[in-house]
Amino acid sequence: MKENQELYNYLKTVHAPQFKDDSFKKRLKNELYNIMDKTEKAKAEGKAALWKWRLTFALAGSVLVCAVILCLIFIAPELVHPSFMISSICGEVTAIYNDDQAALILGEPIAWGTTITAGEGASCDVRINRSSLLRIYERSIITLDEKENMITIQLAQGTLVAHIEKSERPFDLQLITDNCIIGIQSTTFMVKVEQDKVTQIALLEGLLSIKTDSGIADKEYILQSDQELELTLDSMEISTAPLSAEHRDALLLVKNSNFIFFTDVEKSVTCTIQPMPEDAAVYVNGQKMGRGKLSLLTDKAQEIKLKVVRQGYDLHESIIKIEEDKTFNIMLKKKNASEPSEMQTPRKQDEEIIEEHTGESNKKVISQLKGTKITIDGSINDWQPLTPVITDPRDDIKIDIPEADITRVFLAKNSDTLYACIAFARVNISDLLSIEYRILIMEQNNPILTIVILYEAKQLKTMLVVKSKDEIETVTSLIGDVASGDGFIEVAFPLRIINKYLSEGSLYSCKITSRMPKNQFITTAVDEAMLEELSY
Amino acid sequence: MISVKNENEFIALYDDYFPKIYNFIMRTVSSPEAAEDLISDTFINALKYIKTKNVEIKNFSAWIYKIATNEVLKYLNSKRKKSTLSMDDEAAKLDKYLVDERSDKTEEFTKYWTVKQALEKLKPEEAVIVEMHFFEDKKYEEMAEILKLKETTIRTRVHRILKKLEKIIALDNRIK
Repeated sequence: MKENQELYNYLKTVHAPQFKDDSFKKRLKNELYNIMDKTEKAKAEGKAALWKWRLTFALAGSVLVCAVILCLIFIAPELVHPSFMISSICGEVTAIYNDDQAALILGEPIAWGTTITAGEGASCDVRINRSSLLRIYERSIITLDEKENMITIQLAQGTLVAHIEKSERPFDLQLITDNCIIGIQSTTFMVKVEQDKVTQIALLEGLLSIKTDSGIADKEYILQSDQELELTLDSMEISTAPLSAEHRDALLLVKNSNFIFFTDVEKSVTCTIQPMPEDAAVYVNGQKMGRGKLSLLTDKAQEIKLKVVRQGYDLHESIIKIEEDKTFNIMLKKKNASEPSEMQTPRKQDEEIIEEHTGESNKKVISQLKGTKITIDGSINDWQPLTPVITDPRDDIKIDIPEADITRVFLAKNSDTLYACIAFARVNISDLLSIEYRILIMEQNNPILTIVILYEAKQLKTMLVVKSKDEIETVTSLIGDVASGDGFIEVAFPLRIINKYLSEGSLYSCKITSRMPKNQFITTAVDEAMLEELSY
Repeated sequence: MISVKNENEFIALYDDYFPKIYNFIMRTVSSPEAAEDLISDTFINALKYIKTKNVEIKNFSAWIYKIATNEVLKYLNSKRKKSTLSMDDEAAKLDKYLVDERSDKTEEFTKYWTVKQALEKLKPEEAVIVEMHFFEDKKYEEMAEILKLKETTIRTRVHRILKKLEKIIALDNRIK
């Protein structure tokens, strides 16, 4: 090191020059700041991109989770088990499950195997999932069951209208009656099983696959929309007919029952209408729900138009807004004592007929029952009273009937309504009420319209049956308005239905048949001379 | 020993270290243009390293000198092979960047430049060691840290370089 010490010391004395370039220093610093910004920016962008992806994934995940939840809530349960629940009950509706009486609770699912019976004047709505509906009419018995993912509605008797939405059909649904199996697609249809096991099927929309599973005919038919048909136990040939206006109206009513389709069971409210008298008819939004207490589930804050009607009482009409579970007691005011409220049996109510039968016109009918003809008002085309022609339409058993029992048959019509009245010799007709009477309006000896009056389930009922001219096919039937008083039974039907089957200018005649209880048919010799032709 | 953890701390030290690195590089490469590039590369690479690696630099001074040295050595190794400029030309270029703070600036600069010319005949690594030890006043310990060598190795190298430099200077004097 010593030999280098001189040089070492020398170098230590050399002052290295100092350089300076402030502009470059500044420039480089700015560049470094830019790099920092870019880095920060890139980092921020990276973070933003990362968050964007996170957000995207989160959103996608949320959507997926929501979809799964919605699927689980709405679709999946319906795929597995569509929800059948009671959404309205009017009148006496009972349920049997495992041979025991079961409670029907609004909004709760109906157990498979439950049999629901709608009594006289009653009705019941069964909602399937969210927008499909079964409406069970009075005197109907249905059983809901499920086997191997096939849901079966068995209609033992009565009338059922179904509106099945397309979107609501992830399940297989069929309807069984005594003589057919109906495969149900998305559709609006009506099935009516009468006491004689005749099945009427009317279809408004869609298709119905109908397979007869009993009797001689064992065929499958496809019923198109706007058609209807009738099946008997021994149907050899099945012919379809255009959908009648009456059935169309009934089907459209159910299809448009928006107030039944509450959006959410949890958020729905129960509206109870308790009429007084208890057998008053309750109408909601123009639809007759039945007679008696009505309970229905509906959306909160829903407005419904309510009408409560009872013969002899003032009409009640109101619009109610349902904010919470509530019972509305509707007390109808009685008309004065001379009005028809004194009738012995309640009369079935039809909207159009009620209006016709209130007030003076009804009073005239009653007062003139003792006379020889009916005149309701000045516009009436009077039909002369007919001497009864009593026969048995089935010609099974012929038994003489005391002529004193039926004295006259009155037929009359005004611009809206067809009236028929049977006058009896006796004042107290209660012991005659178990007899079934049929008033036949005939064209060239073919009954076109048959008014059936019968006493069933302690109530007097009437039905207008319209048959084709060959007497084979029932075109339509209509429940009418009936009342009884001292020595008479009176019925009424809307004329707009009847007019479609009567031709202006044709000659019509009339006869009456009756059937005693226990299937004892009674008749008397036809007195042709006493028949009068009806000009229409 | 100054440590640096992030870019903010790095930029805070920039003002202190820029003159040191600037002078170190300017003297070793003797070219303002090359020096600017090398200085830029030194600081930019340092900043990027801190940003990307996100590690703490425990001895910032040694670390920044190491980067600068690497840049200089890369430059010098490549420059020696293709240099066309004479030392006088380079010195003339450096002149305008000199800090005018001494009255004897020219004499001192001539003295330095004479040594510098001798240094040019050394290997770049040797010239850098001389620059660091004599003109940057780096201790052996710090130089060992920068050059990643043992302190004794640095001492030995300095001794050898001085012997070599003595011969070069003696030879130059004889030539003159």
